[in-house]
Amino acid sequence: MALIRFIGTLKLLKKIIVPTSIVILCAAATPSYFLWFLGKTGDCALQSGCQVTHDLLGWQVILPLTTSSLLAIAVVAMFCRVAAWTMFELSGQWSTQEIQAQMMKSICKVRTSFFDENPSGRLINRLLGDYGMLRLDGVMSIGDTANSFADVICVGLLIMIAHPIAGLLILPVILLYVGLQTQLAPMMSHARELRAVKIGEALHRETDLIEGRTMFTLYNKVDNLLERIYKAFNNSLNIQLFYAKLMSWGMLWMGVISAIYAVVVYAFLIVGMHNQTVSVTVAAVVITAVFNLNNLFFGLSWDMSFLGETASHARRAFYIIDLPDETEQESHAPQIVDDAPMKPLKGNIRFENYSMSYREHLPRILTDLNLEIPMGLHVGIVGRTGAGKTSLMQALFRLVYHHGGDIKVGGRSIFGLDVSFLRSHFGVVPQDPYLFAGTIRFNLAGTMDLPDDHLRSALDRVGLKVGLDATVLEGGKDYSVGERQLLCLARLILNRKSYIFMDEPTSSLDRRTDEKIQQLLQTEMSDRTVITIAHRLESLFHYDLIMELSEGKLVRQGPPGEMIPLLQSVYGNIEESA
Amino acid sequence: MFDLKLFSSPRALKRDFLQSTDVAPQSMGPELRSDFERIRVQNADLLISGNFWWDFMRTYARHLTLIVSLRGVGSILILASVLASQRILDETNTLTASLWLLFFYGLIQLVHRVTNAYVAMLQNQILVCVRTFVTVRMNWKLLRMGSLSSAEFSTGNLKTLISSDIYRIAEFLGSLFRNGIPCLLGLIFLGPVIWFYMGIPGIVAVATAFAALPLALIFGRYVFHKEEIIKRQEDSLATIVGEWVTHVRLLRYLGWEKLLASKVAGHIRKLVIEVTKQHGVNLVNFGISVSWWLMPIIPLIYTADVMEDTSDLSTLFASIWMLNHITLYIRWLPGLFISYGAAAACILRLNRLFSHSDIEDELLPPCNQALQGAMPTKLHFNHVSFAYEEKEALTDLDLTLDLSRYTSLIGTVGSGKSTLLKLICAEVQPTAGKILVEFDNGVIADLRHHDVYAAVRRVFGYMPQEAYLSNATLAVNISLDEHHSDQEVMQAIHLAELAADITHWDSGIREEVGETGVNLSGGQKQRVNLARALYSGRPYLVLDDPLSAVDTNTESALMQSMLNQCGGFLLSSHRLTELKKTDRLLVLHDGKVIEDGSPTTLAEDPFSEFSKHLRAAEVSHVA
Repeated sequence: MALIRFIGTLKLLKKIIVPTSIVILCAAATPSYFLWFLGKTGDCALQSGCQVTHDLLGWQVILPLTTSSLLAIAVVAMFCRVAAWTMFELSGQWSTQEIQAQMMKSICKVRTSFFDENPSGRLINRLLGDYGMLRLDGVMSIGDTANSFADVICVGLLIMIAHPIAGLLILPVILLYVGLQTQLAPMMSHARELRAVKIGEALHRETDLIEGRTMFTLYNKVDNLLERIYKAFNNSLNIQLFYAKLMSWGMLWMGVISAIYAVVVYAFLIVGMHNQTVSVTVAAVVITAVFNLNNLFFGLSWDMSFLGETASHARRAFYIIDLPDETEQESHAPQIVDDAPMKPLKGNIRFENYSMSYREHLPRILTDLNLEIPMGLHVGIVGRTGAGKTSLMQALFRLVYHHGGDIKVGGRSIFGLDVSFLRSHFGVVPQDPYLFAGTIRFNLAGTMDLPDDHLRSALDRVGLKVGLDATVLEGGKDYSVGERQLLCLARLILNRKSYIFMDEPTSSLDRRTDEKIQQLLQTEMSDRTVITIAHRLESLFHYDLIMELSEGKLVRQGPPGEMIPLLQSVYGNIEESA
Repeated sequence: MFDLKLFSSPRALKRDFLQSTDVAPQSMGPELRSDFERIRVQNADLLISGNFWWDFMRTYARHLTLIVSLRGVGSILILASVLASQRILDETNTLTASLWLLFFYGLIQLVHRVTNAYVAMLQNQILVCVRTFVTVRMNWKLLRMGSLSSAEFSTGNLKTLISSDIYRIAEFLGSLFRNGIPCLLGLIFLGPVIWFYMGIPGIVAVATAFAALPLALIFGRYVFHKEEIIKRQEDSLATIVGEWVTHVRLLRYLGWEKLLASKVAGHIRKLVIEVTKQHGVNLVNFGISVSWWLMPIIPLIYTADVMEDTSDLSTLFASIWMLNHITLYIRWLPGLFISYGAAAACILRLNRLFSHSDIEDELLPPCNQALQGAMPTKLHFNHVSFAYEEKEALTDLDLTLDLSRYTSLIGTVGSGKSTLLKLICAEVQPTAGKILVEFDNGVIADLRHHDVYAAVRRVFGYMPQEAYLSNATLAVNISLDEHHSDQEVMQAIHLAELAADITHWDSGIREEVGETGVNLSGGQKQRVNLARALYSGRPYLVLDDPLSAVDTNTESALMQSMLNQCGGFLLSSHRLTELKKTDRLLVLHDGKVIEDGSPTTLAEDPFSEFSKHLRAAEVSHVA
């Protein structure tokens, strides 16, 4: 089923399927025709004046029985073969971009916790590994199977000139092959899977030796490690040897089938020659085809053996494509539709009896939370680890599982809005900002299309001295945490978001940058709502309002003058609460 | 355990096998078995002469000879079936004679199929032979090597060696036995017969068959060259998608999903263009070479005709069949040549690894002083420098470390802290100067002496900065041993403040930590490494930044258990508060010790580096 659906996604291939099929048939037929023609040439022994005439849809095609005709046919055979393969496989390959795009689109919308449940390696494997297999091997297995099938049928047609029954007998032989293949292919692919698993395990042990060499030698555990390597290796070698056996098992039975068929065809030839119904030339031509037959059959079964794997790659790709949308998965959300869905949000943020957890069956982090963040104020949020500070932010972005209550911005429930529209109102400065590999420009501008001088002036305002085209390594590891935070601030200066979340770093080595960030928050962000997850008391002095969270609830709130002495007595210093 | 039975019904075979997760032990052949057994022997004697192929062939001589001889038998069987078919074409045969010939033909075919299947199995075993051969020798070498100071042998490169280079060598060997040798044997056995049958036209035809080769080689080179470009593109794509899926929350904060999705689509498009080009050329190449078997027939007939050869139809066709057999392999020969190039590069790397110096070569002979049962007490650094790839990490260090004291080490990134710690536990050897070890019986000797080195390695528990985690259970990661006592592991877990973490895990200490510890947080990984050092029961610990990535309460608890559990330690740290509990503090800067003293004294001195660092840290604690 997955295979059919996969073929269905190959749009370009579908468009040219009729000419492609014709070319595939031509490619399969020409070598057989060549042999038949060779027989004719042999019959007339290259005397001048010999020719064959074909009536092709009313066109009289006359071919003289010469070596030049043979050469022409051989060239046509090559051309058709090349055309048949390239038309099918290249168009198919090109079309597979669609399936990847669908996968990306679906993964863009899947619920956030999906990424926590699936290790990144597995996801990359689905998005690129399975796709890569579909792109090349998937299309190839389908194309090659179609081609090999046509080849075998055409050889059957050639054999029919010896005796129709001998030629027709190729059909049951094909059926036998397919039957054997349906038994063998799942075993082969299961064996390949097992082999991959066992080799993976052996590699883990080998990695122990490579990475942990110093540890194992220091603590005198080498013998123990070698024993484990031995065990893992033994398993992986066994399956490899088994795989080898399985393959020869298949080869043997397929070989025997084709050998029996060859003997049958020979018997028809002998009887035909004896009855004078088959000339020596025809017999010789048929024998030539029979000599090739074993390879053709083997090619057919080889190509078919990959269809099963293509199907399983396709199944995995479609699993990703069919993942449900994130909004369908945050149930208990109130079914509200906003009256003016595209009107920008404005006003106080209110949590009303709001409860959430990260996944449906995990313990709740925020429970019946009630709080209000007034618009335009700078609010600091404090609390111990696990108090729900970061969850508050994720709740507003609708990244979590919603158990009840509501969140309203300016009186409008955020659950009535389009998710990406909602998110476009909030800006974030993460605790340890991650920069994407590329350039400063990409990380600064993102989706915004802004002229360079705008971008440069934003960098100037935050005091970052880097070029727009300076490279950024994966994660931005070539910049300090402070510099990365400044870049996030520059981004926020540019995109004018009205609500900003700032996650302070727990410990920063660079004090000057810290001060700079505080100062920027006061000057550049004075008119915006800033919600800071605070880790340091000194920064709290600058805020308008401080809220303290504990166990998913608001315990107290007040202006800094009131709150800071209180907090000092509770926490000693705030860093311990980080 | 599943076993393959040759004559069981395919359906039953399939049903049983698909349910199995393991297979019955397979027979390996004597030389493979004996080479393989060496994996678990540390001091095995191995062939490493510097010539990979020679060693390989000597190790698996029987196996390789068997394949080649069976391939030879295959060629002879082809010849036999060609001759039988040729006789069948003889019109003067009686029906009985023809049927006898048919019987022989059938017999030959059956024998040929059986040999083919058997030889295919042997060829597949080559993969096993290569993997075993390389792995056994690599393990052997890795365990003997000293410090790997060259980037060529970074863990990443070594892993590539074992995970993909092996397959390139195996691919070449597979291709050699599948195509190269049959082609050669075909030429040897069938070539003279073609010549005998057809004379000069036969030679011309064989030459035409090989004419496909240069073209295919050119195409093949292009395909191979493109392969590397494609590989690079795939890698960069994997980086982008990797960033993407690991930072999905950030993406959603920024609203950049579509931006990155379109970036990925752009990359995919570029990649598909490259793959299409490469595959297109590949298809043209294959299309031509698959149909090339038609070509030699034409000059055969033409030349025979021009030369007015009187050979009859059956000899002509017999020659064509033999030609077809040879052409069958020619089309795969370019692959053989190209895979040889790839394999040769891998073997070069392997040979460089095999010729790397052993730790034994770096060490001096035993110092001939009574060290039996003696414990090292002090390390004296005597003008010690250490350079890594021409970059000096430590410069001219003069220092005495008392192992029974608690010493801490601070300094900025790149100041040489980790290098100093590695030198102390003899992970690396100084590039200049020497380290003298003082023992409790008064002996003082250079660390590089074999016996001194062994004595020092016995007393240290070392926790490196880069946490090492094996893809195994937590308990195995701590004990490095499958036969550990759970009680001792639990004790180490408590001391390393991991007890609270494992209460959340379903399988407790049997929890799998995943590849490089993906299932653990950064702090947990470090504490597992600390637990390993504590589990070892070594009297002295050398700890590289054990206190980062833990919260303040845990920090002080960890410091307490380290102070209680060992006779002395050296630790480096970025966290300063707990360091006041140690006896001695060293401040490192640019490979030199710039401050040395008791932490309390240094903290009181307002002009000391330590007090400056302390103040900087504290100001941000309490405003």
